[in-house]
Amino acid sequence: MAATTKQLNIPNKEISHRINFMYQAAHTALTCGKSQEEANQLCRIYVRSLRKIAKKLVLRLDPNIKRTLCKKCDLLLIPGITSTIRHSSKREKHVILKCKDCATTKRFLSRSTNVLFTENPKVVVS
Amino acid sequence: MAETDAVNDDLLHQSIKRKKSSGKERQKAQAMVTSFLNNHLPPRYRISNENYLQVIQKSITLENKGITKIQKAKKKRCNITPYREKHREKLHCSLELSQRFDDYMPLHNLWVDYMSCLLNIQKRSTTSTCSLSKEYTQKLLKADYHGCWITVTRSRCPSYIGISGIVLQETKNALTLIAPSNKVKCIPKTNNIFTFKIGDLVFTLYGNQFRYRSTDRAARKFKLKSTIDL
Ligand SMILES: [Zn+2]
Repeated sequence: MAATTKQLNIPNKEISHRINFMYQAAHTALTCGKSQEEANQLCRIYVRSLRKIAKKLVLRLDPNIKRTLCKKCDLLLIPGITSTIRHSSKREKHVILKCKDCATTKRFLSRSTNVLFTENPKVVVS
Repeated sequence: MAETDAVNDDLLHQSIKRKKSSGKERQKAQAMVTSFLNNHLPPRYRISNENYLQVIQKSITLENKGITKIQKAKKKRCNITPYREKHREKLHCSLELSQRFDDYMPLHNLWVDYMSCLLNIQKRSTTSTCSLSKEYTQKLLKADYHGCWITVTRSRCPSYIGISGIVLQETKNALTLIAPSNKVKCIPKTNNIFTFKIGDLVFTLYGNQFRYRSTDRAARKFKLKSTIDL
């Protein structure tokens, strides 16, 4: 969310700045702490407050950020550390991202025609 | 069990029907019925040999030990609540008290970068600080303090004074710090004054005016108040 501040007049600039910071803080929080469990707890605190802020101010999180957060336990999903990533072609071909802590799965279609709405040139208003 | 129960039931009916039957049989039946009832009825209906007929006249539902459909449905429904509670527990988790201070230095460095970027410290030359202060207060109110190196300078409780550490968690009424001595400390905001430093600037936070959730602060509009306390 507004990690690159090209335009000068961004509404809620400070808030987006803050959300950006919290997202990075969650990343660093995962690396510290005695055990993985404790690190996860701190990470959850940051992600949760990030979500709350975005919800309060009715800001939409960028899909690239949203897809790395666990829906259920608010953990940052990093493949290999807090989540597993698998490719499945049982139904339609898709990628399964599974949280290691609460075993919630996210599925993303791997269609070649799929475009995120933020990357779609028709949606973006110049 | 089921067969013997059926037999007992038969006996019971027979005994009621043939009240005038022979004495021996009747006594046998009575003994059986009472023992059967005592085994299967709830404790408040326990009976002796004399009053068993009175009890029988009441309608009592015997306990069915099998699981009925309704109970099954209830069980299924019950499974939902513990899961939700679990989820909620995770939501309100508190930090463990055994942490290493050095691990949190990267977090602090990140915060310093964030804060100096937010306040545009490098661009500002050391001009009139009074004009800056208004701008800064608005920014500081909406800023985030996770990872900030904070010190308690003034407090009503003297034992809090001088405690410093990196903020790990901010809640409505307290800050959780980690001190260099590897101890996690929870310090209430009320009646405490905190200071933190960025570059050459020193900021003070008045705990009493700061008693909001860190997420609420972002959206709230504040009025400037003067303080008399302390
Ligand atoms: Zn999860």
